[in-house]
Formats: sequence, structure tokens, C-alpha cells
Amino acid sequence: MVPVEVIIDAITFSNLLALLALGLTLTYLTLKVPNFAHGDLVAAGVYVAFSLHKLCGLHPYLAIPAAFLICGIISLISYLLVYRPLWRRGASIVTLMIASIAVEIVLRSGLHIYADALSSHLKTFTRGFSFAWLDRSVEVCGRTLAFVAIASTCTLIAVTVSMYLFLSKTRFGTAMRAAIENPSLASSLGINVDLVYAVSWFLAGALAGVAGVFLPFRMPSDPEVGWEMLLRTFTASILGGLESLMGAILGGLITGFAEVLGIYVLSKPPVSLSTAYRPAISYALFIIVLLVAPGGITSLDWRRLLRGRRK
Amino acid sequence: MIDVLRLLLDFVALYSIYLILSVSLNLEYGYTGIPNFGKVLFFAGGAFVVGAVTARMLAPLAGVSLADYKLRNVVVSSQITSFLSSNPLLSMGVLFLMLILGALVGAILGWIASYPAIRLREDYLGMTLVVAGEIMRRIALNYDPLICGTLGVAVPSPYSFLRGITLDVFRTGFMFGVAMLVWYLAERLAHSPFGRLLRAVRDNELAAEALGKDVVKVRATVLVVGSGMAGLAGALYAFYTGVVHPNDCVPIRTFVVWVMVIIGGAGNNTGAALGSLIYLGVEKIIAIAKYYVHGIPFEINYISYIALGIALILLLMFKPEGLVPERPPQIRPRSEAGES
Amino acid sequence: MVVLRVEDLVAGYGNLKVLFGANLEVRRREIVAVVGPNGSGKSTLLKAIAGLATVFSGKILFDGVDMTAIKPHDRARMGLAYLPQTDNVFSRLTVKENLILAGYTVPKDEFEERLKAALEFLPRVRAVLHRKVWTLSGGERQMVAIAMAVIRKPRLVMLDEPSASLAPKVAAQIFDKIVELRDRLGLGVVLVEQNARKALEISDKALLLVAGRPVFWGPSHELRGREDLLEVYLGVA
Repeated sequence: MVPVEVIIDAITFSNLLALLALGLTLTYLTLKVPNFAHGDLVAAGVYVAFSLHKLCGLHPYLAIPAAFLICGIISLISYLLVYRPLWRRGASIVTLMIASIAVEIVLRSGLHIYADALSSHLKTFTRGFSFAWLDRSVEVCGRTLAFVAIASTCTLIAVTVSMYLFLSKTRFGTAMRAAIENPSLASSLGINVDLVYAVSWFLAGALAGVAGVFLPFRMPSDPEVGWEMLLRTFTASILGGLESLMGAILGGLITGFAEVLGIYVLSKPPVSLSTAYRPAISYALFIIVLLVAPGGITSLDWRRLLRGRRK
Repeated sequence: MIDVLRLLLDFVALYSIYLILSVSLNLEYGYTGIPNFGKVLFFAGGAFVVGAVTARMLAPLAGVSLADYKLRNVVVSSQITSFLSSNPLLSMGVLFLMLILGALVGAILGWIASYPAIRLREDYLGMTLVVAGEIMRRIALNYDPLICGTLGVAVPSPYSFLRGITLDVFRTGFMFGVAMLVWYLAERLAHSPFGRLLRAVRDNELAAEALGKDVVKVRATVLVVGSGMAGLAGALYAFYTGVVHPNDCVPIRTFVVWVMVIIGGAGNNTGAALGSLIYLGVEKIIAIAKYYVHGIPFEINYISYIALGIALILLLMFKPEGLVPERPPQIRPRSEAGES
Repeated sequence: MVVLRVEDLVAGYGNLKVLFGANLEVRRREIVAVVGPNGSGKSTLLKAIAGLATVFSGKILFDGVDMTAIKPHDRARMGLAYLPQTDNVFSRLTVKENLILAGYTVPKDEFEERLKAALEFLPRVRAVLHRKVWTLSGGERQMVAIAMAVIRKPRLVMLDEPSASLAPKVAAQIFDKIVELRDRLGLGVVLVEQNARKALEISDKALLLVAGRPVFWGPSHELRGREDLLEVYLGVA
């Protein structure tokens, strides 16, 4: 039987990945570019929570609105200053990818500088910290669960439900779906596609920021954590099908569980793989998805598969 | 005086490495339109093979024991180095052999990478190559028999038959010579019918295919050649620094090369040469400035990275063709072509 | 009542110029046909008016207002309806959902009324209201696209080759509808067409573009009389 701690890790980690993959797919749907800087928005969220905790004594969970706002704004600024101008000049996908890498470098270095500056100001460590000691425990079915698993799950459910309602029931949400499906047609119907894109980028960053609040509860954090999460986010998004929002959430959950449970199983005999290979599971999953079903799970014709290929 | 000379030699040596890398990326992306986001992977191939093989291969010849290699690798390496110092012919032989091996490993990796590179769209390809590089790095970090895992491995010096400043001069000269050779080869390639084929494939794949050109094979060939060059650079680098560590081969290496190619201008080798020069020059200036600026509570390196990122963005927005734009092919009038 | 006036328009894409100095004028209750060989800039003209192409010089005046600085979605709100040649409907949605989206700029209380009026104008659309658009035939799709324009009560409708890849009988139905746009709804219409003969038949004025330059601008019946132009540029006997 898998230990509870591992299950907690799996739940929290996959919730994180689901939020991240959702954001990545959202921005991909707008400009068709995988945003290499997306991971660093998580790291930014981590540091928002950390800073508020150290400077104002605010418990990290209470920092969620701040992380939401600040990381959303950072993402929005990168859209307004970098991606939109390049897009308007007719930049190719490769150019946009390179630009996102440039943004990534700027963000990550900026976080390093911030971490160092904060460290000398607070005279304390600002890397390799964890929030685990701040967490509460909750009794569920006779087992003790760390509260973060519950908090992150509730957040993910809330996000999923609100996204669904927003996109299908509200006027702007419907406009968003139209703009994503056919931007020029949408704009000739009076829909402000640029506004839709801007909102998408804000939301993507905001969701990443919220994920960043939960991250240090289970993983030691430093400015490099963004890059570490990025490649797993790619895996999650591709697994879900890079064009499907619901798929992204599903992909995040599957990847998260695969990684945590996978390394748990593989680290035991007879394989006894070192736990340092944990990210490699997501990388391997990435390659497998590309080879087997590059369109992700939402692109598969499940009915035909289940019937067997004899049709 | 010697110090200034050393500084210069160091600079030129590093420049040689990045020149080879930029030229290889230019070949892949500038001429053929393949966005190789995993350049560091092939570089690592060459470097890792030098780290993994050189000492182990020479140890029996030098009569050095390989017991406890991971912990003792520095000692083993220096023992082999002193063995080599009395054997110039062997040293040079080993150097050439390992360079060829490095290029070969790079080329093989490029061949493997050509399978996804041909079939995937650019955005998927970009992600895949980065992931591949990280897989390689992670394996190198954890699989000790490769390059001693997190410790990194020391590399015996094949230049040790020389001493002092002569060594530096020879080493830098040799590296620069190799770089010049690669540059010359790339130029010949670019101005040959094959070079025109590459540009045809880049600009209009459908047309090239309609004309009977095997686009898949062209792309694979270019990737193999480019990766071989990167492997060569990696091997050169390993011998230059004397150490191979997995964390030397991080994704940012790839992106530095991209910056060089973009600054200089993709689509021509002169651009690649110029871009590398400018980037390394600026980096050097910042490093020197570091000595003179005090009282800053963080690493200056981060500032240089931020400057790099912003410079790249500005370049992409305002001068995406770089400093040396690609010259359109010359079409000579009919009379010159000697038609009746 | 001049709805649209285009003066000396030079337009294209990015750095590429395709259209060199087009002039036209559209009034209410008027159909203007834009004809010419392939690649003559007809689509570019429409795109530039809609705000989806680069304008290098010249003026586009809608109801007397200079539209150069106005964004595409705002132009749509001003009463301009543009039906591109391809992708002019949301294939994956149902007809009704398409119409709801088309009603994005329509005030909530007016929408039901406008929907009824649009369906009355296009009974074929009412019949397929709940089907997904990708299951419809080419002709039905065009009808949906026209319905999406009508529901917004535009002042000007621009259609880019609406009869392309449609069977002649179906194309005739589309042309009939376009005439109704002018006669029943009193709209101004700009019609880009490869089928020059039919376009000249139903239109009031015509612009003949060749390689991006205007070769003829005037009443359609005049162009129909110009055998020289018709044969050389339009291949119409």
C-alpha cells in the first residue's frame, strides 16, 4: 500500500501541474507559441508568498490573491511589451519561441536578484526554503493529511468550475471561445480579440502564481524551480492535447500522478532507481506522448479505440 | 604583459568554441530553417565522450590505476597528464582521436534527433530538443560511470608537453585553427549547390519536394553535420577547461548560441562569426566591470543575463535580420551564363 | 447616402503591396461588384476595408468617418459586415450558436427580434438551426454566414466570392439573396466575384481590378458593353 505521504505529494503536485498546464494551453491557444517563460511565473508566485510571509507575517494561503494578481500582471506585461508587438509584426513561431526564452531568462535572473537582495535585507535564507512547517494537518478517514493537498484540490476544482461557467455561460467567455477558434471572424463580429488575448495571458500568469503559493509546501524552492516545472508543464499540456483546456487539466493530473507514483514504485527494488531521476519520468512521458499520440488524449477517438481497430 | 596576453588567448579560445557552435546553428537554422533548441545536447555529447573515455583509455598506457575512479579522478587525470607531457606524439594523437570521436558522437546524436526533427512541427520540436538535453544532463548527473555524476570528471591535458605561455599560445592557436577550418567548410557548403538546396528547402519546402529533392534526407544530413560540429566544439571545450561537469551543459548554453546567431544575422556565416564576437566581448566587459563595482548585494552575472534577454527581445523586434543580413542570391544575366 | 468611400487606396500585407490606388463608392440600396482576374487584389481591397490588411496610403471613409485608425472589431460595430471567402462561420458550433455569437454587439433585448427577422429573411437557415455547421452543405453555410451579417443590421455588407465552389443552382440562390439584401433590406453591398457575368448582372456599379490597379470604375451596364475589357481581363464572351 502506498504511504499517505506519497499520495499527498501526488495530489498536490498534480494539482499544481493542472493549474500550470491550463495556463500554458491558454496562452498557446492565443498565439500558437509554447511559452517558455511560463514556469518562471510559478517561481514568481513562490516568492510573492514567501515575501509576504517574511515581511508581513502573512500565512502563505492568504497570499493567494496577491500571487494571483501580481503574477497575472507580470504575464500581461510580457504579452503587451513583447509578444503582442512581435505578433503584430508578423513574427514566426520560432521568433516568438526565442522571445519567450528571452523573457524566461529575464524573469529568472530577476528572481535571482530579488532573492539575493531580499536575503541581504532580511539576513535570512531565501533559497531552498519550504512552507511545510506552516501547514496544518487534517484528519480524514482516520489518516492525517497535510492541508495543502485539500487546499490545492479545492482550488483546482474552483478554478475548473469557474472556467467552465465563464467560458460557456458568460458573454465574454463565449467571445473568448470564438476568438480562439477564429480570430479574424470574431473580430469582424465585433469581438475585441486583443482584449481576449490580454485576458488569457493575465489568467495564465495568475493561475501559475496561485500554483506557486502551493509549491513550497511540498518542494524546497528557489528561483530555478520555474525551469524545473516548465518541462513537466509541457508534458502535461501535450498529454492533454495542446489545444484543449479541459485536456490540460487532465494532462496535469495524469503527469503529476505518473511522476510521483512512478518514482515511488521505481525507487524500490528491483529497479531501485535514484529519486533524482524523478523529473526524467515526465520527460520520458513527453517523448512517449509524442511518439504514440502527438495530439494528446483529447485527440484520440476513444470510441474507435475501445471498439478495437477492426472498423 | 603576460596577463594581458593570457586574457586575449583565453578570449580567442572561448571564441573558437562558440564560433563553431554558431556556425553549426546557422547551418541548421539560418540555411535550412531547422530550429535547433537542443544545441547543448550535441555539445554535451562531444564533451561527455572526452570526459568519459580519455582518462580511462590512457590509464593502462600510463600505468595509472583506475580504482575508485569517481573519487580519485582528479589525481588520475593529473598523473596521466604528466605521462603525456613526455609524449608529444601520443598527446597529439589522442587529441585528434578524441576530437574525431567527439564529432562522431555529436553526429550520431544528431542522426537520432533527426527522426523527431523531421516529423515534428517547430513548436513541438523546440520543446522536444530542450527536453532531450535535460534528460541527457540528468543521466550524466546521476549515472556515475559516465562522468562521475555530480562530481564531474577531470580531463588529462594533451597540451602538457608544452609549458607556460607557449602552451596557451599553442592551445589557443590550435583551437582557433580548428574553428577556422569549420568556418571555411561551412562557407564552402553554403556557396555550393548543396547550400542552395538548403535554402530552397527552408524557403519553400513544397516546391523543393515537387522538384524531386528529398527534403527529409536534406534535413537529416544538415542536422548530422551540424551536430557533429557541435560535438567537435564540445570535445575541444573539454580539453580546454580540463573538466567536464553535467551542469556545464545547461539549456542556457543553447540560448546563448541563439543570441549570437541572431545578433550576427541568421543565414550567413559572417553573421555567426560577428555575433559570437560581439556577445563574448560584451560578456567579457561585464566580467571585468565586476571587479571594479562593489557594494551590490547580488551577482553581476544576473544583470548580464537580463541585459542579454532584453537585447535579444529588442533585436527580434527591431532588427530580426541581425547585423549582417542574408544577401539575396545573385542572379546573373543570361549573357554571363554563356547561353547562346 | 454614401455609405463607403475608398480613395486612392494602396494596401497589402506586411511589406508587400498588392493594391495600387483603388477608388470606389457604395451607396445605400446599391450593389458594387469588384471583378478581375486572380490575384488582382480584390480580396485585399475587402480586407483593407475590414481592417485586416495593411494600408500604406489612401482613405477609407465609412459614413464620412475616416476608418484608418479604427480597429477591426470597432469597424464591425460601426455597421460594417465582412464575409471572407473561407472560414466565415464557426464550423464546430451549431447554427444557433453562430447566430448568438453574431449577435455579440446586439443589445440583449433586441436580440430575439433580430433573430426572428434574420430567420425570416433566410428560411433555409431556420430549417437547420440546431445542426453543427460542419455538417451543412456549402450553400447552407453561406446562408448562415449571411444570416450572421443580417442579424447585426449592418449598413454595408462585403462578400468575398460567395459563390465559389458552389453548384450553379445553389449559387443562383445566393445571388438572389444578395439582391434581396439591397432591395428588401436597403443595404449597401460590395461583392467580389470570379463569376463576372452574374456579378455585373445584379450590380449597379463595377470596379475592374487588374494586377492591383483599377482599369474600370462606373455603372455595371457600361462595363458589360466593353467587349474589349471583358474578353481580355475576364474571359467573358
